[in-house]
Amino acid sequence: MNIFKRTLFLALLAIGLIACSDDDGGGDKSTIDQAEFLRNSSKIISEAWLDLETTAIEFEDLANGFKNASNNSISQNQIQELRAQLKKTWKSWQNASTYEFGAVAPFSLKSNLNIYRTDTAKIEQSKRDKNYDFAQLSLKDAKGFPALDYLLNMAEESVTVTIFSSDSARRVYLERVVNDLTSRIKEVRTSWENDRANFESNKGTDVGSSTGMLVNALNLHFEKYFRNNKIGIPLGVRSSGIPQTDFVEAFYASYSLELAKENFTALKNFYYGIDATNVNGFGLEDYLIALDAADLNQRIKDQITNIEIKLNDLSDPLALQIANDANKVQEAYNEIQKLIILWKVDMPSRMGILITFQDNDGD
Amino acid sequence: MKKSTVKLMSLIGLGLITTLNSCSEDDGTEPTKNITPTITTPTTYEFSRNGSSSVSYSGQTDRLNQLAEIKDVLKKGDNGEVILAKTLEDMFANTNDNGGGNFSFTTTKQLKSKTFTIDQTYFEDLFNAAEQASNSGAIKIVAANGTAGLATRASGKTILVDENGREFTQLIEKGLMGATFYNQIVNTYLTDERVGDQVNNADLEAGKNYTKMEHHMDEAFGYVGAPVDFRSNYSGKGTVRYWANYSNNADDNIQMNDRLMNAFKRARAAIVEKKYSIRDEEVAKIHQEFEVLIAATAIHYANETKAATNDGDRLHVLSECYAFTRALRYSNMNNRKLTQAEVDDLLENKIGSNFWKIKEQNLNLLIDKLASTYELEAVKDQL
Repeated sequence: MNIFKRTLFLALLAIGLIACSDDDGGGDKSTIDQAEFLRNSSKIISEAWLDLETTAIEFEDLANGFKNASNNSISQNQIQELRAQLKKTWKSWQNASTYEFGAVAPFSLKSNLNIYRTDTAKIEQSKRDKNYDFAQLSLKDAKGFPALDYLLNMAEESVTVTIFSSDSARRVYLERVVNDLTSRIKEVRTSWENDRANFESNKGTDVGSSTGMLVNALNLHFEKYFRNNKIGIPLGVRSSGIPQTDFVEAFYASYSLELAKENFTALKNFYYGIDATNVNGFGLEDYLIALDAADLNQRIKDQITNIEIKLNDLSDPLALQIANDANKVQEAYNEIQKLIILWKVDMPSRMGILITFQDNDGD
Repeated sequence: MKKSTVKLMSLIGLGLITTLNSCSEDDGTEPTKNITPTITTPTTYEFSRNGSSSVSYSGQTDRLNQLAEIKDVLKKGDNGEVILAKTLEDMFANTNDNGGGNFSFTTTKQLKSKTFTIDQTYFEDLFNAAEQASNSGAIKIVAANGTAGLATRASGKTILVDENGREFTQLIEKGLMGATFYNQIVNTYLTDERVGDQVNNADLEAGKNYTKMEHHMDEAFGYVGAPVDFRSNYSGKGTVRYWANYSNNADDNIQMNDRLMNAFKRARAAIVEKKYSIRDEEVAKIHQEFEVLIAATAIHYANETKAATNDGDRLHVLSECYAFTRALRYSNMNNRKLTQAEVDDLLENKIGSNFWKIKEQNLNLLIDKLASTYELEAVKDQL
């Protein structure tokens, strides 16, 4: 018993000593230039929000002119311009939408700007009632990019001209959707810029640290907003394999894959640390290499390439692709799945980051 | 407990103190402290006397099971079947010890008499409204602003809501978690009347293996729904129910399981060892941590509400958010951080009575209020 007690006492002392050590596992952080990582990430994020704000303001000007036009002056040219601007802004959105975390999180931009499928009955009803208030969450699926897609792309060009020509309330609705979208983007960019210095100085890897939040945001976006929303749900992963092709992004414009690829490229660039001018700075890639995890970095890079190959094997409209050859889409989905494991399990564990976001649809 | 075991325990305690002190950066500038009593945190919520367990909370487990079967009835309403208020009332009051024939088991325990007194009619009113709405659900009326009926979720499942979009299953199930379970823990058991110095902790209750004070602590624990070995990063086999389940959801971000369980285990151990200053500290901690758990859960559902992509999902998670926020009404008067008026403000002015009209800025105000009050700022977006 005496020996046992003594051993126990020593064991406890040893535990105490270990607990006092600064090196608490999860990789050697001393060689990491986190300042450079945060500075470069912050640059990429700022550029993304700025571009989105710029395209949205252009959109607002167009929509405003459209609203104020007299009933029979609507031209095909105007519709073309609006459609092109919608696409430009929606693509810019693909570059920014991942970064909904920290100071930006409370604005819920993703769910305010991009819920699809959009509720067309709600759009028509609200337009008729005229007393719609886009601050109410119940109108989230009647506004944003998908609502604009419906309004601008539901019919061919000449028909769209006719519809808008005789319906000023419809032009007002469109303008107010664009206003809502633009003002929210402005709010977000302002709050990001106000918080930017704080983001760059909030070092470490704890819950609430900038790097921790960023890696969580990247994973949440990739898993839920890229894999599920853009590919998985239309493919039928939520409906026992029965495709739900009306849930594709850009259902009316049919450039779903183009948006998905834009988004994936943005995720890839962020991983590498590539900014808007194509300069390759300190990204997660460099972070892993500095952690002596070049092997993991290589596996991630290979998997990114595998996904790109599979995505390039598909063609728009995605809804048609699923209807004609769902297997190819499933293959892309499977490759995406593999990257999730690398990004969500292996990478955070090497970095000493805890994945804390919850994506539970259950109750 | 054998003497050698006691010695061993104190040795472990000493070892821990030594190691803890060795971590301190403060190297000896403080004068020697008075010796304050310490206890070792038990590994599990298991305590025994003379070789058999001294823990008992079967009455609480009965009530947890009753609520589960009430939920089964409510789910029928969600699925578009007619449900009767009388069924729910009989179960609530446990008529004839078997909920009027609706429970699969018999017990003398009931939920109603343990429910926050002035809110008993709140639930009975909800039962009546649920019956009425279920008549609409049964003929497939789609819920809309001003119309009770069924709202469809992304999963394809439906929920039964009233004319203001409030889901009965959540308001009642989560409502009773607050008005009955939480209320009993903080307003009945963890009070001076039940675990204070004047409560008998010397004699065993007639025919039992526990003192009155021990038993009161166990009854509080029984309402949590936690397995005895519950802890952070829980991977045990025990069934995690009700409050423990929501603690588990918040565990990654705020280590909620350990915060709650350690306080319960230490309080119970302190009662066994008659170290009452520790008991008081730990009981106070349970009051605190429980409010944090409720606030974290309400914030989680407020975030989910903001992220919801269709009416059914949004009304569902907002109903949860409302019911959990409402649970803060039952916090103990002497231990609460928010006043009744502040909680009412969250319910009436931030969430409001019509769930169809909820706005993001109001949810953000609710989140910020709870996060700043309960020190959840750093994780409020991730909960």
